Amino acid sequence: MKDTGIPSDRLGKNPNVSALILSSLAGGEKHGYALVKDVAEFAGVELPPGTLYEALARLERAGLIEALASDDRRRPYRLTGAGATTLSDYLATQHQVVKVGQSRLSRGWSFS
Amino acid sequence: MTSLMTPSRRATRLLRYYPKSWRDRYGDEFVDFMEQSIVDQPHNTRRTSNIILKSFKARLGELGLLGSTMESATAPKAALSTSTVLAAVFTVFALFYWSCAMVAWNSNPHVATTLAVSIGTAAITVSTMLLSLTLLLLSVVLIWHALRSALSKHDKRVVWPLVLILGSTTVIVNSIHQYLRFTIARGGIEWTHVGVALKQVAGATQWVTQRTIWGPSWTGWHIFTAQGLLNVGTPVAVLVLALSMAKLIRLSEVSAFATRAGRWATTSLALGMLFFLVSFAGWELAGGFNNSWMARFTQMQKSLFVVIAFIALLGLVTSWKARSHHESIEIIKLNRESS
Repeated sequence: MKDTGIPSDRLGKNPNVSALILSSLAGGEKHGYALVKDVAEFAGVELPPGTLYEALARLERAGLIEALASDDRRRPYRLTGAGATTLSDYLATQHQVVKVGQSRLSRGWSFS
Repeated sequence: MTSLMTPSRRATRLLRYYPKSWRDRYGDEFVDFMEQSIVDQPHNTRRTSNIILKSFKARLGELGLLGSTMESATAPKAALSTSTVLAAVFTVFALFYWSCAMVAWNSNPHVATTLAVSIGTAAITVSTMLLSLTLLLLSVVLIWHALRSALSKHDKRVVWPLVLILGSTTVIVNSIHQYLRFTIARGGIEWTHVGVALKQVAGATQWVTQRTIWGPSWTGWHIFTAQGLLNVGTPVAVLVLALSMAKLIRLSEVSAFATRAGRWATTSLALGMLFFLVSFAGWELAGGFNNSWMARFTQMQKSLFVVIAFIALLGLVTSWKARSHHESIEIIKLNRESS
């Protein structure tokens, strides 16, 4: 993961999956299954378990999330300060893309 | 049959696809996750195939062939242990090809050896020696370190790999003795004549490595004969030796110096393999075999060359992944310090 200063690079491989996880954790700490249910609800995306745990491991190693201690098998994850900054930067970029895309579509395309 | 199993059993079975270090870290929560997922959706092919694919990636990461998502301290050791196994197998083939080149060099009195062929032969010799010496140095350091650990710290984990290393080395030394007893270099090598000695060493190496590579196919079904055991036992011993070394690397304690040395060794082995391939290809293109009475590069040798080129490619990937992993760790450290 080379840091080029571009927010999506800081999220590593598959930035969309990372952004979904970070966005979910921005709403509060969650364990794996609750996180998947939350993402399915707000984004309509079903994260398969292999993809989820690969991303959790990567984000944890990058210091963007942290695993909390737990008494049972369910281990909750929490967004870190670095994770919040990275997500904020990434979403700002995405917001800009959405704005430009929508504005260009509204000028040249009509949908019935 | 799968639907008859309880969610807990199915979850535990799926967890087994992942490597041990991954299971130790995420096993409990993964099983808990899967139990709930299976209760919600008993049958989901996409979910199962996703786990198989990602667990395979995690296993490749464990071997240092993909960017590991696990503990950063184990990544250089994983890369070095994989490189050691790859380089050990590669070196057996490299020694065989080196011996072919050395026996062929200047062996036809009717054809003068070109400068290009001589340079190619020298390059093959240097690259083979570089690989062999790196492996030898690595082995000596590892065994010394493991022996100290076993004797002073009573570390029992290193005992089995050490026993296997001793056993496989004994088998290999005995095989070399048996292969050479009635064949090449009978009466000893003439060390007083450097050129003659080099040819004799090359001839002996060719005989031993040829038997190691093709021996099992010559044995056929007659494994339980003295010759059969020798032919099958030698390549098995080489593999056991390489895997035991890899195990020792994984068990060794990691200091900052050892991590740096490990990365250096991984890179050296990968570059040694690449250097050898380039040297041999250059030698062949320069007409290396034309100067000898030997047959040209046969189809079998060409196929094997593709195999060892693939091994070298895996070595390069391992080395590159170890390097990029190290860089990403440095960046993460910087990010953490700055935030």
